[in-house]
Amino acid sequence: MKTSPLFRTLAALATVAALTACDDDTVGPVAPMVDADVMSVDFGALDVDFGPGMTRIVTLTNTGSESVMLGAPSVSGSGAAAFMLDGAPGLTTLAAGATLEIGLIFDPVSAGPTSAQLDVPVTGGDAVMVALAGTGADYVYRQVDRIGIPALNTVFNHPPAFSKVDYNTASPADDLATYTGRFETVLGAVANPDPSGTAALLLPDALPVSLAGETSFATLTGRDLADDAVDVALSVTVGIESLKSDNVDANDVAFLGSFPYLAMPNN
Amino acid sequence: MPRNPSQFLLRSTLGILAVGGVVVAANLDVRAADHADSPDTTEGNLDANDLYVFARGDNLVFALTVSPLLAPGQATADAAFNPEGLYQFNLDRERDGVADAVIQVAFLGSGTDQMVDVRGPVATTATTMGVVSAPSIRAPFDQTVVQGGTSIFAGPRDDPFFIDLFGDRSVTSVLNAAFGAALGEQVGADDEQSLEFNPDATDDLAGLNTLAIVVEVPKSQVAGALGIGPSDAFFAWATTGVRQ
Repeated sequence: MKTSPLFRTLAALATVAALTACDDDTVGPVAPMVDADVMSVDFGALDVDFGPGMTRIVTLTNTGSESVMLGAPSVSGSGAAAFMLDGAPGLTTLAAGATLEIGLIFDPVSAGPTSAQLDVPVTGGDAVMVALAGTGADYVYRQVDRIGIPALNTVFNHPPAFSKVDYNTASPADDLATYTGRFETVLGAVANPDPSGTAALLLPDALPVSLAGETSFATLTGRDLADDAVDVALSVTVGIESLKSDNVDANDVAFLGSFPYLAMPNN
Repeated sequence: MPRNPSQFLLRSTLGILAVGGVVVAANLDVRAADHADSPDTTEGNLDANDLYVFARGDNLVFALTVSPLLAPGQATADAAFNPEGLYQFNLDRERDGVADAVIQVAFLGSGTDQMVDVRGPVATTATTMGVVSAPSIRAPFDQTVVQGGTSIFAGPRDDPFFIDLFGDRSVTSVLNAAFGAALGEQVGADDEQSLEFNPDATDDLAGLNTLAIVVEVPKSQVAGALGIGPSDAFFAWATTGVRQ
């Protein structure tokens, strides 16, 4: 009698099920037992443009009394593309009581929640399965602070009339319209000989940088670590002769000759 | 708005040329000057201190310091960048105040186990602040990573800014006096009467740390991202942001 392929498959499955059930009822070799320390890993939210997130570790433990052979871990399911194994082990023999750490990384490919499953085959026993979940995000940020030319906000804006928060959260694109008048007033107050020209030099609040050769705040071609920004700023803004230098001309410790150039932190 | 009057007073007192640095005194809440200019955030690690852009050979180095006035030990013990923050070097071709290219710096994780991701310089036309899709270089907190001509570092450093910030005839108090007299604005509580700085001034940021982000890239990459010539000039500012 001919049978369809589907029938044969179902029959085979039934046989396996019967044998498995039979195993449970008889005295025989103890099935290997391998447990994961977690049932699921929730990676939380990560910006889809960010790149791979931090590695999370799932620890498997052989809770049986004999060594166990583990197959290569794999990730499957609808969101499998967003989850990666970090240096995944291949076949591994796990001694009784021993543990194996499996690293997993979330790298969302689209916005919204996604999920998958980690499978680790166990020879002669039940595969270890751990649910994986995470959410792809597309964050928008709000500006908290800004810094271009040293000290402009601190020098020119005095609350409550001129809010430092407003300045910090503003775009330089609005600086000319918003702050030119204020800057001219303050520059006049400290005897600057050319308030409007100086205000035009300082606004919009962005540091001029030259790609040609040396850079220095004194020549408005950049700002190096050793530049005396306070004295330069005073000389540019303040017209009072006795206020050209704060008499502190260098950092307390030397800068480094190589990257990252800033000195080591103080202990 | 400042949370309480004493904070307001203290910060106002500080506010002056402090490009960097600021106060300390007995109040732990006090933050560095340009530093202390972010009264809307209690997160010192979003409080920008100073921007540096300087040449080293054929490279350009961008450095941003945040988290002013870290005491020794604090910088390595519990100071870290904001994992929900976005730190950005904005590069402007025409000086219209609109960034034409950016270098973006963002962090994964918290504490000193953080990883930093740096992308760019890359051209942008974005009108909102968000992570651009561009390849990134990743480094552990407080460690330098060099990749493809670019070097990145994010971690605690000595505050490179130097200024006479505290005490009699400091920059802060003398300038406050000048403004106060001319503008009729009471700027600080300890405004000086003398318009001369202290002749024996010392660096009041000596011994204090800050969190620093340092990115060194070939000048050619900056020129390329901005679409300018190899000897041209551009304009730079740094921003800190936090997720909305």
